This record gives sequence, C-alpha cells and structure tokens, in this order.
Amino acid sequence: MGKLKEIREKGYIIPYRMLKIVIGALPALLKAMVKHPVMILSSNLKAKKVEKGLVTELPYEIPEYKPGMPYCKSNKRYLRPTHLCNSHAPEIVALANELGAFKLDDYEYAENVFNFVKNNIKLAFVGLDREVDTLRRGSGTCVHQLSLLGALLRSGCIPFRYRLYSLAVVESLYQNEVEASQVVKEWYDAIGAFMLHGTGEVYIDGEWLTADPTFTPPYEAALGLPLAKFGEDPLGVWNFPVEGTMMLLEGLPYGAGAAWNLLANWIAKGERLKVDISMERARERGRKILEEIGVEAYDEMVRKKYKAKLPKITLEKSPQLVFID
Amino acid sequence: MLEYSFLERINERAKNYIFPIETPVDEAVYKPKSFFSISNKEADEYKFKAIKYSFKHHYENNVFYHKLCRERNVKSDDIKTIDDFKKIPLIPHEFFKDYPSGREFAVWLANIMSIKLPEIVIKGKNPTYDEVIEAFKEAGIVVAYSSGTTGKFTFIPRDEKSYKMTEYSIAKSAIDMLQHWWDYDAYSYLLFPDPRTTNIFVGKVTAILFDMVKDTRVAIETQITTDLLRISMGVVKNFKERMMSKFIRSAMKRMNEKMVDKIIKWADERSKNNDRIFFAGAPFILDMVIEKMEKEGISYDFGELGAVLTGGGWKTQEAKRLPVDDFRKKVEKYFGIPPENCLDLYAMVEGNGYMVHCPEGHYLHIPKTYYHPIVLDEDGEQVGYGEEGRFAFLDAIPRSYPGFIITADKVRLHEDCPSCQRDGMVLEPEVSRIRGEEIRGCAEEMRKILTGGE
Repeated sequence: MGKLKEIREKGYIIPYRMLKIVIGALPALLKAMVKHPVMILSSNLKAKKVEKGLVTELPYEIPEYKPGMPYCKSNKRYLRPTHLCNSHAPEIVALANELGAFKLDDYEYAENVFNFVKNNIKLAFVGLDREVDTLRRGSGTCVHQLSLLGALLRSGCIPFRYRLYSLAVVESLYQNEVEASQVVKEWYDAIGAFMLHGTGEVYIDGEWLTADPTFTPPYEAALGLPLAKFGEDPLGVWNFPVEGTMMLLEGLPYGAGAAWNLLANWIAKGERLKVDISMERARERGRKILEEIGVEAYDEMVRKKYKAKLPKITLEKSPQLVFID
Repeated sequence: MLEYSFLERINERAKNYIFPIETPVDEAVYKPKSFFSISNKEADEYKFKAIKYSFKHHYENNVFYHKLCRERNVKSDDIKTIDDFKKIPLIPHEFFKDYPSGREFAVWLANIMSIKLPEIVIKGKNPTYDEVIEAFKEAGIVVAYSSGTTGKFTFIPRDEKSYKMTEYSIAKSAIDMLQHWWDYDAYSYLLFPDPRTTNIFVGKVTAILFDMVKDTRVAIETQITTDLLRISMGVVKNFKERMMSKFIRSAMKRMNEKMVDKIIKWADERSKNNDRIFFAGAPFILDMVIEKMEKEGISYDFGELGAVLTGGGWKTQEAKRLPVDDFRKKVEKYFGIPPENCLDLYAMVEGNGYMVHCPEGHYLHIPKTYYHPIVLDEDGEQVGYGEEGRFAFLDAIPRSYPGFIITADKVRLHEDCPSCQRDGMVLEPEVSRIRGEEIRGCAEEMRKILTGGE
C-alpha cells in the first residue's frame, strides 16, 4: 500500500490530464509530419553534421564528488529523488555543495542554483534524459532544466516540484522557435499552443516560489524579454497557459518521455535541430546586445516595458448580482 | 472646409442612438458637426470638458480606478488644462484579460464597472462566459469581447448609453469620410458576424449599419460564442472540443465558400440594377471574393456608386499581411471602386474612438472632440509627433469602465494630416503590433473562424 502511495505521489503514473494533453497533441503532429515526409527525411540526413556544429564548450566545470559530502537523505515528498531527478547522484551532490548547500540560507542557495541553471544550461530540444546528462551536456528542454534544478535543490534539502502546462507564447518566441520548422509550426498552429512547458516551484519559508530557468540571458535579450530572476513567474511575460492544463507534480511520470524521445532523437531529429539552430543564432544576437548595452542596463530598460503595473482588483460581492443554482 | 449637411442626415437615421445632451461627453459626441473637420480650438474645448468629466466620473465611481489614482497621487481636480491629461493614470490593456471564470467572472465585471448596476440574475453554479454575458445583456449591459491568438479574451462591459454612443460614433466617423458617397438608399454587405447574434466587438458595434443603409446583408450568419471563437483560435480544452474543432473547421470552410458565392451573386444583381453599394468589414473576406472573381474572370464597374470600409486587421493568411495599397488597387480593378472610396478604420474593443482613413491620403484621422491619443516609448514616456511608439488613449465615451488605456499597437502620430486639409492629429495609415505582444485583430478572429484556423 505504502509503495503504491509513494508511486502515485511521485507522479510516476502519468496523470490523466497529461495523458489527455499528449494524446490530444499527437494527431496534429502526425498530420504535420505526414504532410512533409521529404522535408523530414532531408533534414534528418543533415542532422549529424548540424548536430556537430551545435556542440559548444561547457561554460562551467563539474566539481569532483568527495565521499562524505552532505546531501539531503529525507524521503519526504518533494525532497526525495524522483524519476530523472536524482538528488543523490554524486555529480549533483558535488555541485550542490559548491553552490552553497548547507552553508547559505535557503533563499540564497536556491537563488544560486537557479542562476547556475539559468545562466549555463541552454534550451535545446533533446530527448528526455537524466539530470546528470543535462549537466554534462549543458543543454536541454525546460523539463531537463527543471530536473537539474530540482535535483540540486532537493540535494540541498529544499523542496521542489514541477508545474507543467500547455502554453501559447509571445510572437517573438513564436517566430524564433515555432517558425524555425514547418512541421513544428503546423503542429503548434493546429493546437494553438506548445504541448507542454515546465516551470519549477521551490518551497522556502512557508511558500512555494516560482523558478523558471528556461532561457539564458542572451536568448532573452534576443527575444526582447526581461532577464528572469528567481521568484518571477513567466506567466503573462512570455507565456500564456492554456486553461485547464496546469499540473503540479513531485516527479516526472515513467514513460512520459518515450514518445518525445522517439520524435526528438529519431523521427524528426532534423526538424528539432532546425529549432535548436534558430535558438543558437538568436543567442548569438542576444550576446551582442548584452555586450553592447550591458546586462543590467538591458534588463532595466526592458523591465520598464514589461513591468506595466496592473491595478489589482479586490473582488467585492455586488448586491446587484443574484446567483441562482 | 467640407459641407456638413451629412450630420443632419445621419442624426435623422440614428435617432435611436442619440441621448438628450446632459453632460460634456454628450456634447462632445452629438454637438460637433464633425469629429474630424472642425477647428482644433473648438475640438479641444469639447475634448477637455469631456475627458475631465469622464475622469472625474471614474475617479469617483470606480473603486479600482480610484485606488490606482491614489497610488499615482492624482485627484480628479488635478486636471485643469489639456496638458494635465498626462497625469491621468492609464490602464494597460492586459488588465482586461485578467479575470476569473464562473460566478467570479460576473463579480469581476461588476468590480471593473463605474456605474450602479441593475439587478443581474445569473443562473447555474458554474456559468460559462457566454451565460454571464447573456445575463448582463438581459440587464441592459453589453459585454463585448475580442480575442488574441492565445484564446484569452478581452472583455469590455458597456452600459446602454455607452454602447449606443459608440455605435453612433462609428457611424458618424465613417460617414464623415465617406460623405461624398453616402446615401441611405444603398445596399451594403457587412463582412463581419451578424451583430444580432454575436457579442464579438467587431460584429456588435456595426449594428448601426442597418439604420444607415436601406438594405444590409450579413456575411457571417453563424452565432459566434466565446467557445466557438476560442476553439477556432485553436485553443481546445478536451477531446470533445478537439472533435468539435474539426467539425467546426470543415463546416466553416464550407460556409466560407458559400459566403463568397453569395457575395458575388449579390454584387452581380447590384451591378445590373446600377445600385449604390457598400462593403464594410474584414478585408480578407473581400480579398477572398476578389480572388474568386479573378479566377472566374468576373469584374464590375461600380465607380463612385461603390464604397468600401475595412477594419479589423490586414492578415490574409497566417503571418501574411495584405498590402493595403495592393488591396485598394484590386478593389478598383474588380469592382471599379476608386481608392478614394476604399478606406480603412482602426479601432479596438477597449475603446470607442474610430480612426478612419481620409480619402485623400489614407491617413487615420482621430475623432478629436472626445478622444485624446497618446504615443508612449518603451519607458512609458510620451514621444513627440512623428515618432513611433505604443498607442494609448483617453476616451471620454465609456461611462461603464475607465477608457484610459495603453494598447499593444505600434503607431506613429502626426500633428496634422500630410494629405488633406482637415485639422487635427492623424496616425500613419497602417498600424502594427508591438513586438512581443500576441497577434490580435477582429478580422484575424474572423479569418481563423472562416478558414478553419489556417
């Protein structure tokens, strides 16, 4: 009974909502692929060469694990390792210690982890794999990034969970990612949204804080977005969730990545590389922008644009509204 | 200066939209002989009084706006000259997209409104947006909406007076620029949804066309609800909706083809009878009609008897913008309607100002007696004439919500029209979206519905 409960809590059984989203997205994807077999084949043939060009040096060194390094051994929800988010892995423990686990206060440590992932792990649509693979490669999807973020946080005894949802994106992102591949474009246009995006949630001082490290600063600069900080929610800045798709999960379900891996690593590898190349080019542009303007000056400038203050309404009951069941 | 006899003719036809003059806003809308052609001095007098009155009204009657003013340290007495308009706090357009669902949606609507509500009965434990909108409608409040590519709606509630004034304003603005063509004894084709069966803003606001022209046909007769619009924009929530989406797409495509045939047949009859005709609505629909006429080798020569007023955006296919000049040339080639009679109108659900092309140079003229345009840079500071920036406005018409809004549109404002002799500010002929904002446009919504989301 206990084991079953743990499996369920950890989210290892794919939630009904996620299943619906994935199944719902498949027909549109298949249709887009069936329409362009030559394009897919041709881009797959070029994939190997293209992939080589995308490999860059890691901007960090993975510290060496030393026996006895402290890490969180709790089996409590949101602290324990989950599928593809192993907070006990030696490389994770070593990095967590280097980033200040058990030395800094929770907020400072979490912010360090967030900044490490955000600044160093590039967005790339690779097949789903382990947190250490993401760390070794220096790139991954938003879900990879979250798994690494979560593993580092949990290793330092800070609860972490995934917030997954379908989303529509702002036009600059649409142009850079979606329009980079005709197949992706037709898929996105048919659904009107990206199938799944992940944002992290971190529990500190009695509240869940948002952590979305998806974009490196150069990519944000290329898209004209403010540089996301720890605690900031991307909702309404660059993403617009589709109603009724939000899921909070302790871990990723088993098998959820299988279809994605088949697609990203094999069937449409060339198409996903088109998106990766488009993002890499954007990052190059973004790096130049940040060099010219300066990181802080850029952020300050863009934030004025994005930080349009919305008056918040406190909903008060109106005696004129009569509700009848 | 132009002749104004058209105003008496409009007022004769628009009796149901005219209220007794009681406030400076009524004066600014109903009294001027034109929104565009009176002197700046006269217009500024109307505008100052109307916007000051409107600001005071919302400051005193709207809890959230009052709070915003307090935060910005602005009081209603602070507006002493037109220069003080810059003190009036502006509301970002996203504000009207940030609402809850179910019963809370009704409470949200009630909370953003600046008028005393009549009793509104809402049935059901978890009413849909359409059900809440219908309940408000029964109580005399029109909740019009528009949607972007995300399927997230902008909802704007208008009380009866604000709604009728906005309809009056669109008619007065449009006919002002087309007064050389306009006559009640004409035939029009509304290239939008039927105003009687939709709450989508672009359809709703054109209801007055039925009073301005003797015979009006509607291109889109299907009832358009928020769900239909959302599904057509590609935002589906479940399997059932996905299936519905497929059905809607194929049904709409069939309807689309029939619609084009009907419009050509109508034009054929009108041409044979030498009738005065008017197309009003989404340019992409007329473009589809022209495409078919081109294929079938059909053309007409309505000449000065024909007029076109487009609105709602210029996309014909995903990410493809129809060049406005080319469109006018096509209209002339296939309908014989001269470019001076082929104008565009720029407006949005949040506002009640209808900026219309002048026939001479196709610059968008601003209705200057009740509507004050502002262009902002990225820091929210006002920019000078001729500089590009984000469009914002102070709109005196709405009593039901504060019409002081920052939009997502990119414009360039000029102090005077470079092409015609009408005094007053104009926008450059074409308006685009600010980078990073979702794509929106009433015509874009219609296009998605009719083309099955392609």
